[in-house]
Amino acid sequence: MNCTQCQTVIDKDLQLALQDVDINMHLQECESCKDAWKEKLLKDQFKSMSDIPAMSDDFSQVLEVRIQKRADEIEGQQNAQNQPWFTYAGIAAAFMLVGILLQPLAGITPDYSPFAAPRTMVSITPNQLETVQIMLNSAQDYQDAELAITVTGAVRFDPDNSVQTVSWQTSLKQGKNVLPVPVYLANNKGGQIVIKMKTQTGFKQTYIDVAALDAKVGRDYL
Amino acid sequence: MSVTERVNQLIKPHIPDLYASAYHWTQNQHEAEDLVQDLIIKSMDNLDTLEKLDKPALWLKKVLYRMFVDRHRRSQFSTVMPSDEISDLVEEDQLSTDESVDLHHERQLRQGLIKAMKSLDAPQRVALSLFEIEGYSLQEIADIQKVSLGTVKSRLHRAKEKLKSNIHLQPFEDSIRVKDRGL
Repeated sequence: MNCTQCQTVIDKDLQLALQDVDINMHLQECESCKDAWKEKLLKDQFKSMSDIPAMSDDFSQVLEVRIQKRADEIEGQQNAQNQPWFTYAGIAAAFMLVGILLQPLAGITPDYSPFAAPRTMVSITPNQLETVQIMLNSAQDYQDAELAITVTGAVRFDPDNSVQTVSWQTSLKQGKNVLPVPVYLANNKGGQIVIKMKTQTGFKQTYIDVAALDAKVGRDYL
Repeated sequence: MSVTERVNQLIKPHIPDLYASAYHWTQNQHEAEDLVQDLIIKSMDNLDTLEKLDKPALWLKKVLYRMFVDRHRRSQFSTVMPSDEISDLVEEDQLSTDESVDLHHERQLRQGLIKAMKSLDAPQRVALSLFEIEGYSLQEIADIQKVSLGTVKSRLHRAKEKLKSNIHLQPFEDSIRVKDRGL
């Protein structure tokens, strides 16, 4: 048995090659033919691995629910963003606020413009409890303002807390009201803080994107 | 057009292909399904981008690859072993009564190969799977992995060498020799 004969049989029929005593003995001794045999074996195995199990029965159902939930969130955000400015201006002139400005505690000097962008962003260190200071700039005093803060994505109120929304009644003074919020970013994928404010005469909702500092791995592909 | 309609149009047609890739990379049905679902939800934030692309499938595959690599890295620090790997360990090397020796060897070989595949690092595993099982070209793999052609070739070579080192040629068994030679 020489290498040419051996590799011809290997290429032709691997099973047959393995059942042949001479080829088997040759393979035990010849590294080159043994490598060719392994190569062919791998090729055959890869072919057989192209078959995959069908997806679970509930895959589509679960996916539909998740898609619908996310679609609702996206459309809600889009609707909020598409609100014309005069609507905000009308609310501001008539009733309260309106500026939600945000800065990290040790951050840069905040902008106290009464018409802050409805979406803003903050970057914090993942896996570390940090305090984000939210500035509510109210046009007048309110005794019974309702505040609700919801965290989404990887944002938590603390590492172990599964609560996503906290709401309470509070008074707002005319001018700047500082609201420190503990925020924990569970991974570097980021998330949002959603702030809803309601008084007897007005309502405003604002989104704050929370990104991870040095979040190259989690954010470079989306 | 609503967000769900855009998802149906832009992403859903690619689900079978994405699931196949995810399964080949993870070798685990549930992990593959989770990966695909998470990919779809994430991609919903980028529907505008997807609409403008000539090859949305390739973009989705790139994102899937990045997600898989991220998860694989995280799982390396996890002390929890997936349940299917535990059952692999239990079932390993057990010859069922109605299974021929050849079939048993075939199954052992297959299990060994899957285990060896899992021991490859994520980029090597994906490169090998894309090339050998899914039929992607070297250039396409380079695009997906965002590396040079040379790196892809190197990954494929190293991956194959690792797999080969896990394959052992069994010495010829006397019983088979007698049977095959009609003695």
